[in-house]
Amino acid sequence: MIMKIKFLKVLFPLFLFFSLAYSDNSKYAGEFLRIPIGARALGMGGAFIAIANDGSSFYYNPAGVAISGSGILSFMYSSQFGGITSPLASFFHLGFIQNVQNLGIAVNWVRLSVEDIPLTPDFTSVQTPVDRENLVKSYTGGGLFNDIEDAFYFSFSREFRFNINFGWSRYRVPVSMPIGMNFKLLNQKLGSERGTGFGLDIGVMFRFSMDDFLQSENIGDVSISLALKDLGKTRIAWSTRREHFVESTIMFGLAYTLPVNFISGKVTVAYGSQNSYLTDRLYGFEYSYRDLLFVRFGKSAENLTLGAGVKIDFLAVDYAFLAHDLGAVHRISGSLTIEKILKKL
Amino acid sequence: MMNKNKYPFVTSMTCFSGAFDYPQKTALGVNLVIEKEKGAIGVFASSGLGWLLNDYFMILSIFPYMFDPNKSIGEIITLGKAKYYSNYFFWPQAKSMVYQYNLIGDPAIKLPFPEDKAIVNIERKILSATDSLKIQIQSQISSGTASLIISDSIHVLRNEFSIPIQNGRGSITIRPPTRSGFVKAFISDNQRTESGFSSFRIGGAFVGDYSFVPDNPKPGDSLSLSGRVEIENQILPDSVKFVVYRYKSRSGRFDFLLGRDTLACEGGGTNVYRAVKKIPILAGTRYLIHMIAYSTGKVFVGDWKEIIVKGLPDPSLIPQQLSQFQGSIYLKSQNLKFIADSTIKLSLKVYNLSDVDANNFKIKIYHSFRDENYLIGQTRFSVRGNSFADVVVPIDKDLNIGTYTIYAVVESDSLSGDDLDYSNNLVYNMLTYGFVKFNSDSISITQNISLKRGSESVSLIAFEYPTAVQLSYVANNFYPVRPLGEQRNFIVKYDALNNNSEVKIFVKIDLSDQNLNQNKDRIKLYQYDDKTRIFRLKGGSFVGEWFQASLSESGIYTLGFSNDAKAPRIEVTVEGQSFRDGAHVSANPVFSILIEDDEGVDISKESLRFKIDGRDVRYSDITIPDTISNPKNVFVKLNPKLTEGEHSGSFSARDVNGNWSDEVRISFKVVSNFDIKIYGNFPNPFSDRTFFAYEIFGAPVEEVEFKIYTVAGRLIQNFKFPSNDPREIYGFQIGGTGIPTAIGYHEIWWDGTDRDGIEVANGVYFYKFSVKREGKIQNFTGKIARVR
Repeated sequence: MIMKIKFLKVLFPLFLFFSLAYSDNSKYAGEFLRIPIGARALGMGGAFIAIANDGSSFYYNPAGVAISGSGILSFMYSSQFGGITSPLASFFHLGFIQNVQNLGIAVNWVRLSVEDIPLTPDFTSVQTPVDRENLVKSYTGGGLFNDIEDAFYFSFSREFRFNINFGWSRYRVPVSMPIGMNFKLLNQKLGSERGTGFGLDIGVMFRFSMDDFLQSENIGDVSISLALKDLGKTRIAWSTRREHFVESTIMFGLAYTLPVNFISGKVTVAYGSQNSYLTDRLYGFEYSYRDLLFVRFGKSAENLTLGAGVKIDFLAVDYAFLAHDLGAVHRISGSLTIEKILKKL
Repeated sequence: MMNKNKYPFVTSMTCFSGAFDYPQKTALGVNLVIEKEKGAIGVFASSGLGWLLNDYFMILSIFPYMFDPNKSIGEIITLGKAKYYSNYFFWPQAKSMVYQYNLIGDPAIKLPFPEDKAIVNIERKILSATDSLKIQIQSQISSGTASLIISDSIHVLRNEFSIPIQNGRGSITIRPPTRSGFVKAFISDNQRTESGFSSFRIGGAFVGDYSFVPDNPKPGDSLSLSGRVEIENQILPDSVKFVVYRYKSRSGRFDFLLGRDTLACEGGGTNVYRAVKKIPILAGTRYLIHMIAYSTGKVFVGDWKEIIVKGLPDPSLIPQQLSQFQGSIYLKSQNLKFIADSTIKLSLKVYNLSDVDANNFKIKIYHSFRDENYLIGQTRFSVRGNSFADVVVPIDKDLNIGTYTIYAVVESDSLSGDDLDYSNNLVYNMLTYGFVKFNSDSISITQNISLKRGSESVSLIAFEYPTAVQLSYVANNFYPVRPLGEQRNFIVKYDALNNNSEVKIFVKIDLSDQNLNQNKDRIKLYQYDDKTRIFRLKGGSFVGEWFQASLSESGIYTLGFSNDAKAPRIEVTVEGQSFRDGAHVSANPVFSILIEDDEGVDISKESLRFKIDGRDVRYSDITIPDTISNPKNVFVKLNPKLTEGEHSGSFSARDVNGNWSDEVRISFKVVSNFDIKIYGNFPNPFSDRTFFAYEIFGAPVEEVEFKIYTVAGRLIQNFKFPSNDPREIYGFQIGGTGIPTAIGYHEIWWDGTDRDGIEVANGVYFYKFSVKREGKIQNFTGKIARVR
């Protein structure tokens, strides 16, 4: 008996706590976390999971942060759907990546802002269609509200290099295996309500050269990538006392980069799959000319993408286009290598 | 019957010889079949009582099939029974006869018959007591054996022996074993078989063995007849003549004697006498011929012989199929009908069952009796061979309104020539004569009903009273009324028969009835409406005891009154949406007008008063459904062509008892320029459900689609109309605001779930609304927020 009472005493506050929040199994929470980042990545259909070697690497695989260089400032603007002038949403990214004692560290801020959402009253309880029609037609309110969704990523990554010894000791293959993780804070402000959350992503990549593997020359590099996002479901708690969970996503990628000497360039083909609710398949292609000019195209789920880029010394600028039912996405992103600028100065 | 290996097939047309169903006893017929090495191969016999005449009819029906070597006994008996029953079904025993006569034996047996005929000649058929029988056989079998049987006059075997046949001939001379009888020969060479017979008699006379030239006379031939006469002691006859009877009808069922010829004969060889004159052969005639010999005051009469020659038309009022099977000549025919336009006629079908065309035959129509006093019309007609014609007979004589037995009879005369078969020349039918000829302006139908024509152009109308028409009065509150002195309610069937002018009807009603007198002013003429299947008010009023009303159109009328004072209700919708004043419609909108009344809605021309812009809508422009399942709820449609701008309409209708509805007035606006207006979703942000509102102007669209996406561009829900997928039209159903592609205001409801039916989380969702019209798609995008 006493045990039981004690048990209840302990549990009661817990019941109270849970009863204050409605957690449900709603879908599509934190959906803005699934908008791919970076114009280079989007130009390749988002099949960037096994590449992840620039300022957007934290999104595709946190392990990529360790191999994305150092002292790089990245930024991006994307008009999400429906043209440049009045898109349905604007998507921003600003981030900095720095290598400190073999540890790749990145700080990134991602914002989706949906502005000028019409504010309308509730007529759903009006029974007759004719009355509703009159109310709708005579409504001239015109109020608007906004939705601002922010995510702050803190990424840590380390690259491990070692040789794989193929038993019969004919040859050894040197491989690179970066491992990384993201901590992310979510803050969503929708009208007057607010939702916050904290999440965790982890990832690993496995990279090696086919030259080493097949003991030949100029036959390219291979990268295999696996990332787990929103580990254990990221919880978003709303000011309405409702809790949503961001479904975990398994992201898998393969990439193959082949030097093509006669056209002075490199060709990369990439495949990715991300499994959240449904499995999206991503395909990408990039041709780089002397590491200076880039042309890309890809397919993200059902949507085709195109992209182009230029890299001049410390500055890289990329553009991407995504065809979508809701209207096209235009995206521009750039990165500055701070060290190179400092050297110039 | 010890005839081993030559068992007969026995037909025993009498009582109980085939009674196989007695447990303790074995029937004669059964014994005949089961006995070893004797008896019969099969017996056709009765298991019950024989019925004399019907026994005869039964075997008569079987005989035509009996001697067909290609049919099995089972088939023969089945065919024979069918023929018996189709001819004699009217006998009370007919059915029992079919059941009780049975075959005992194997039905698969086929009876063998000698293939060819042998000639059995006896030198003299009439012998004296001391004479021998000199038999000579002529056979087509050149070498074989002839089995000869000599039987007495009732076919009891008296002698049996065989003689050889050589070069097709055989002969024998024996003492006759009996005073009179038959010589029967069966000739076989183990491949072919032949048979023949002849008769003989000691003393008396023989007249017979007729022969004709030509053998198979055709119409137009002249027939020469000869026969054989023998008298005992070889006395020659004093005179010999042929008597020829000529009968009509091939079937022999109803023969009419046409005439009788007597042809004197002269000697033409030993005992053979030939007619001096030839007789001309007429087609379709049955000739019955026999020979008569006279000798010293005695008359010797020969057997009858029949000759039938084909080739006459056979006009028939009975079709071939019935003509074959029906034994009855009085046949009720539904082909017989009265028809009328400006005159009264009787129409019927006449068949010709023969190959020969029937020309100029006469058809006569009688009522009640087939007697010239009852003749009401006649005409001539022609029908091609094996064909039929629709014949219309004008009815000359006036009849009173009523039901008659009408007879139609085909007759042949000097214009038409002969008829092959008279038995199919008569049919009858029970017909209602319901016509009124206006000899003066007013006509009394009965003492209490009279008619008055509106103008002299009305000379004939169809009018049936009282008729057999039984119609139910759908309306609950309808009280039918009887004319004075009548037992039945007043129901008449009236047909104007191409007359344009109206006819007035006067009905005397007994107003001493308290109930009727009180409701006197309510009593009206009602007309039956075929479409709604109820009576609707026509009008009329009392002048004294006489109710008078106008029969303005053909139809079924009744008299009565109703207590119904409730007006019908009208509801107008346009393109599936409830109507609102000032609503936008297309330039060619479809108005649906629902008229409801507890007693039934009148949908006739005078009862639908629809106006558009103050102008009456023509009745022909109102679409009334072809079938109305319930006259209490009637949907009619209007599809006017309108100009751009403001319009108004008004609608009122009448129920079957003449109560007018309130007038429903609407105003609307035609916007001919196509446009779409998006009102967005309400509420926004939403918690549980929201609806997206849009309006179509000017013209309907082909398709609308509403797709919902997450901020990442993932499609999570879509609604589409029209669509076969119930999930896709779900969003249109909640609001219930008419056809989503029609002109007007519409809503698409979203309950905040994705295509799997799972709630979506708080956040912003994008929508795309697409409208397809004339193949072009117009898109609208927007934002929906969900906060819970």
